[in-house]
Amino acid sequence: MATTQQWLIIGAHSSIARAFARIAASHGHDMILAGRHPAELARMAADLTIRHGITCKTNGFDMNEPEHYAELMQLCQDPEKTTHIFLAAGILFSEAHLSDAHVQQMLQTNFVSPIMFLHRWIHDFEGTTGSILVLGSVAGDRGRARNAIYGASKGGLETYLEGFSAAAAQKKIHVSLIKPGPIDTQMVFHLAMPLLISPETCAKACWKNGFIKQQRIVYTPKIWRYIMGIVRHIPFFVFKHIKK
Amino acid sequence: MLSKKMTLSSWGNHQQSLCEVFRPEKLEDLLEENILNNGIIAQANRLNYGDQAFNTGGDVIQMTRLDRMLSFDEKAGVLVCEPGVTFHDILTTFLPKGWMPPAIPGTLNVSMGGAIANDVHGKNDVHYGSFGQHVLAIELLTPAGLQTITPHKNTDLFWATIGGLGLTGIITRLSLQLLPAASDMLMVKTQRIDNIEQWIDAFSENRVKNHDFCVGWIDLSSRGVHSGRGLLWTADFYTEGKHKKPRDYLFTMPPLPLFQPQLLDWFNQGQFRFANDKPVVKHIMDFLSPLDSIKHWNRGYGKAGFYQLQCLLPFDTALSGYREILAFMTQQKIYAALSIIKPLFKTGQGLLSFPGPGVTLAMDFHNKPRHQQAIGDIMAIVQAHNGKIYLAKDSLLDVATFRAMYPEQDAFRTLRKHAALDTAFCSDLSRRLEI
Repeated sequence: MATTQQWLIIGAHSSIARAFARIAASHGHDMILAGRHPAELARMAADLTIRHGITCKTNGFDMNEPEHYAELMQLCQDPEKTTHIFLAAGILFSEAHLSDAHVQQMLQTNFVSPIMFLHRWIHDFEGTTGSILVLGSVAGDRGRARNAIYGASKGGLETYLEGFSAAAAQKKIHVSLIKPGPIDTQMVFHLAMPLLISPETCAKACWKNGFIKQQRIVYTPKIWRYIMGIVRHIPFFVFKHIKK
Repeated sequence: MLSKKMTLSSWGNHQQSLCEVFRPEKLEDLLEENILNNGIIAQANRLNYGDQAFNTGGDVIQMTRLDRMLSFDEKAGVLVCEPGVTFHDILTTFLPKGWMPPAIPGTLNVSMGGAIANDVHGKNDVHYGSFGQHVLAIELLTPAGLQTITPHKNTDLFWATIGGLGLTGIITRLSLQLLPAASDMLMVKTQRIDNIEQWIDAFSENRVKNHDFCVGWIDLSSRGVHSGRGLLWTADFYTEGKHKKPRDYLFTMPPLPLFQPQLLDWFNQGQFRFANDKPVVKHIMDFLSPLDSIKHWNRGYGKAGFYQLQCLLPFDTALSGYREILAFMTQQKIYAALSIIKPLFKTGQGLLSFPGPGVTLAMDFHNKPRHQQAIGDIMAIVQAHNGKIYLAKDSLLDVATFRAMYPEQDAFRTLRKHAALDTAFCSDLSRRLEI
């Protein structure tokens, strides 16, 4: 490609986004890190610049505040560059005792805001967009009692992305939804989780399968494709009794 | 910060420790709650061989994810970074720019925090000394909060932290002077050594300082222990030829006890017999840490794990001391699987620093009761020859012997007490050695 490539990483301070940024930077791609912790973004930017010699901008950004979308898009605009997006913003609360505010926050951060942002981006961004990688979850494949709200937010996002991908394809923009199983991050550190993988392993799958191979849906580890394939078809009268 | 109970082991694999583990993703996670109340010890990759990173029944903080490089002064070669950054990270990032970290240990996966905690030494000690000599500043979290300590500010606490085994605080950031690296390739020469006398001779300062790096492998298997024969490798930066990539990965050791005595004998014999007498060009990372390309090589010792004893004998007692140790091993039929011998010339300035002028020998032993007994006896020989044991590899040293070997331990213990660091930071090692 004649133009340089850059990544807009939203939710940059999450461990998966951090790991992905390192991979992309190691391939010489520039970075725009967007997130809610300016001090952490500055440290990340320094780290990526020192390790990989790329250009790294930061933007204090909350995807739940649409009034700032234009500013971020302005920062990404560059006629010389193709912009890719890695959307890693997400939130998880234990659903045992959830306040109204928390329910709203989960749906807003995981479902409403990504849709609002991508909708705004596809209509208003004036530069060249290459790929859009969105972090979903296997939890979105079927509604479970334990995390019905989280699952709904991720499942609903998948439906939106299917339509979005069709529209984006006309502009030659590739969209990939990454569905990891449990990832070893602070979010689930205190829990015992099956098939746990590191943020680095997830990030590698995002890069290799999502970006390079341009798969539309990426399960990581791959075995989740088959597990969820089975889980999705378990009759409800059986499924409702499954505790795990 | 969320935490969970985990069973931890160190590189030696000979003991496990059940601890409550915290793992911050960024500095703010660490500062948001008071985790120092119950006594805690920090760690990263737990590559020590003993119990310095265990706090059985208590709290442990995993610093691996605080691994950001924060600034680099290209002219001065000064790197500011978080403690989870490893020697491997620094070499891959800065070798192309002509810089390398100081005092590189035998595995590149050691973190900067671990390097400070053990005042690690490398194969170029004659020129540059140990790690602590190159640390310009440390940002340390103690009950008093975050403070910056340097060799000129808070000097006592600084030199207690160098080699301080994590017992003076949690390192959150450090400033490190990197060293010039003329190339990423080394010309490596092999010299056969027939006995311990020749080793001591080869380690004279006049001879060692002619080379950039120097390390010896010594055959202490059943056939080699009597003579103390081995191979001396000296290496110099090589700028004339093609650049090779580092080997990085050879294979993964399966969880099987492959290090059986007969196999080790053959390995040691083969190493000696098939040594390359011609000079060879190697990537610096392959020379400095040859075992890193075998992932989980410690599993070869089986589920019981192994012990490493690393001792230092001053130059004036090294010959008689090592003669006695080798004779003891021959007589008791105690054989070491792998042994490395190196000269050290500079003294580590930390209160509990290990490096000092002399010859250091590191030996691996399978975990067996008679080996534990033998290690105790060897430590007594070391003590009798005014030597010391490296705490990074140790889990068997008793309080009395430790106090004899480390005369500054009293000052260390007093400092910890006065600054209330002894209640905030503790480990299985601090309890065992009563520091």
